[in-house]
Amino acid sequence: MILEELIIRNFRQYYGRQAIEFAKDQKHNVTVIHGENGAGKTALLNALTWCLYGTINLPHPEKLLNERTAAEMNEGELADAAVILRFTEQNRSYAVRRQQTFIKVDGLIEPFGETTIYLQYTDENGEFREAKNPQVAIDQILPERMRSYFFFDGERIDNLAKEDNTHEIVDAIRNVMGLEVVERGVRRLDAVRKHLQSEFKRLGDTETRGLIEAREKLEERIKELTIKKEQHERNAKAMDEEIKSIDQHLRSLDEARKLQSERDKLNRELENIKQLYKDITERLREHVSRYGYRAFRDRIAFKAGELIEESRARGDIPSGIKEQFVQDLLEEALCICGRDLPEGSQARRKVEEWLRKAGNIAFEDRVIEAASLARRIPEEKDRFFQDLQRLMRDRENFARQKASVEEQLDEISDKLAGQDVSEIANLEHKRRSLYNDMKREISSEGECQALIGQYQRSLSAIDKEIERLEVKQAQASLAKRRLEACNQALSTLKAVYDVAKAHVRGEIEQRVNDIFRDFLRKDFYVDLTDTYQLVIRKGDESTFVDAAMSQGERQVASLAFIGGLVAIAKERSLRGDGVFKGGVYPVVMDSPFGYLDQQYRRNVARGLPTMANQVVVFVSSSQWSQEVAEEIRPRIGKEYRLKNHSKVPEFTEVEVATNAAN
Amino acid sequence: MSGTNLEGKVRAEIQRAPRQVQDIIGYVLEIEGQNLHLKQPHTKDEIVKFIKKVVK
Repeated sequence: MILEELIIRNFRQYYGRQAIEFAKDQKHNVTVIHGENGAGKTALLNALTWCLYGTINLPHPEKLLNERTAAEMNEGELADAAVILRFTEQNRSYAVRRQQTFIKVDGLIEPFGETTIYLQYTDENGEFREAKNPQVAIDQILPERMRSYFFFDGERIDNLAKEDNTHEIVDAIRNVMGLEVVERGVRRLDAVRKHLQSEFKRLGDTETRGLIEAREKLEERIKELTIKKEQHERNAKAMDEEIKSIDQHLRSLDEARKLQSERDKLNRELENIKQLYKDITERLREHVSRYGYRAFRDRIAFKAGELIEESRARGDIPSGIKEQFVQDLLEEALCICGRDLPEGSQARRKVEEWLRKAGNIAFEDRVIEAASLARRIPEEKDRFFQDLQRLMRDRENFARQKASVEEQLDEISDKLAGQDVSEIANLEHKRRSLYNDMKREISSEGECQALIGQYQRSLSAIDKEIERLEVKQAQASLAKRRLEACNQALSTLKAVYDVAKAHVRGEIEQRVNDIFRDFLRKDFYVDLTDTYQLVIRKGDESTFVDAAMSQGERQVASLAFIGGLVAIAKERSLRGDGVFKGGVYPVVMDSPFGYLDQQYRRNVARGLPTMANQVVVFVSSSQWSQEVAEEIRPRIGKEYRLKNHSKVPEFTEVEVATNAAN
Repeated sequence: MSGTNLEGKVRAEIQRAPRQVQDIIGYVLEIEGQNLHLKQPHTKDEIVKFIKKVVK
């Protein structure tokens, strides 16, 4: 989607016809719109979203008609508030027009009829056509659920990097990368599965019905537990947020700052130890599951050794005479003593008898190998136990370190709770109570998860039993095969979703980091965690620490995330195949420099033009600082100023900025 | 380059399934892609019908 021109007529602050042409040149791809607070920057962003989707995020959304236009209307007269957006998409030109007519009745301005929308486009022959379903057509080009990633308020964009907004990140990835189609497919197939399952139940025999009923009960139980688990998870998260806010408060109080800073350090240490403990527990589990059998092979080794020795004692192995050797003699029909061995002769029969006694080379090799393996069994057993003990020692060590850090944390908590300053003591008491509640919530969440796991295992066992069912009746047999095909499709689609989500996460993380490192200092990097949280980290990937994020840093991380999404979506659209189609999207930002300090402003201003094919920024004079102007000016293709006329009723006009390269 | 890019990985995952299961997945993805933009989306009944057509 390439924005060409926005025409506004009598919409909100904008009086009469106002037009903005957007920069499209590759080198000069930035459109800058200057405007002071209240001049209409946010209204301009809303003009775009109203035109495309009919939504407005402003106070008094019903007041679309410009006040000056309204004041000039005579009784019974009609006037339109309208926005027209011209854009191109895949070599087609589009013009979308949304308008609302108003009438003056008894001195009041009222809507006259419904809001109307028209979408015209040029077809393959260059002829103008009108779309029958304009909203559907627009949604195919830039779906409404995706608009907030491309048309956004820069001052609120830092929300994306807040911990409790991971769902927005997941939504963004899902929407922009096309994962939503797969996700919807999974949901839909699950409903289909239930439908086919009930058909099979209806047609099946008593055993079938019993199994399916048991399955349905388990499904219901899992559903209930999932809801409960999610509630515990949300509660714990909310408490954690509250604890963080108390910590922030304590950091701001002189008497608590030092202790709180020690606690911050210890908490980071604790997180690292917990991770190490988790890793070593996983290694222990792997060690036991991979080599645990070595502890129980003594008896087998002893018995195998005994059998081999007995065979040796009997002279069965080695046999002394090899099968291949006897075969060669018979083939050449000549004995080693020089006698001929013609077919049917007594001498040949004697030699043929040796075949029964002769040893098979491959078999003997295997026996020798088995004997050697049997000798190694006690050594391997010892090594298994040595490694096990070492891992357990290391784990105990981490457990001790964890306990020690927790003890130090308790001491800090005691000191803070015993402070003379009542504000600090109260905060700490509240923190403790929250912490204990949070631990209870986490534990309940874990219990739910364990039960869900248990029920899911039972579910798989029932599924296997259903699979094994021998259905004789033809109709029931067909229903069973259909259900099985649906189950397979469902599990394959779930696997596809997991593969795609993991791939996209990795791809986005890399892109975000490329952009983020341009925006921020080099020793920071963004980690898109397993739970889709945008975290800024400091150091390299093996010795990182979580960096506390300021609002400005969060804003930078979020901008980098959007830049990453736009870049990948564009690449996908150029490849143009597969389920994950992507698209070319512009980025339109209101006040993108809001919370940034001087250095970040310069870096972000330098990076913004590279974020998308087309970048539109709305800025106030305080945001258009020297460093921002220096970095962006070489990339400006179009530049406008919103001129606010204070004469009552106020209105705004769009002027081409005098120093713009228009 | 199957398996290295996203499409390759997804294709590899789907191709592991039997032919008729691949057909069902293809159909589901197609109609769900259309559903994103439809006022009256395709329903689950259409998938049930499709499965009944391919599994006989």
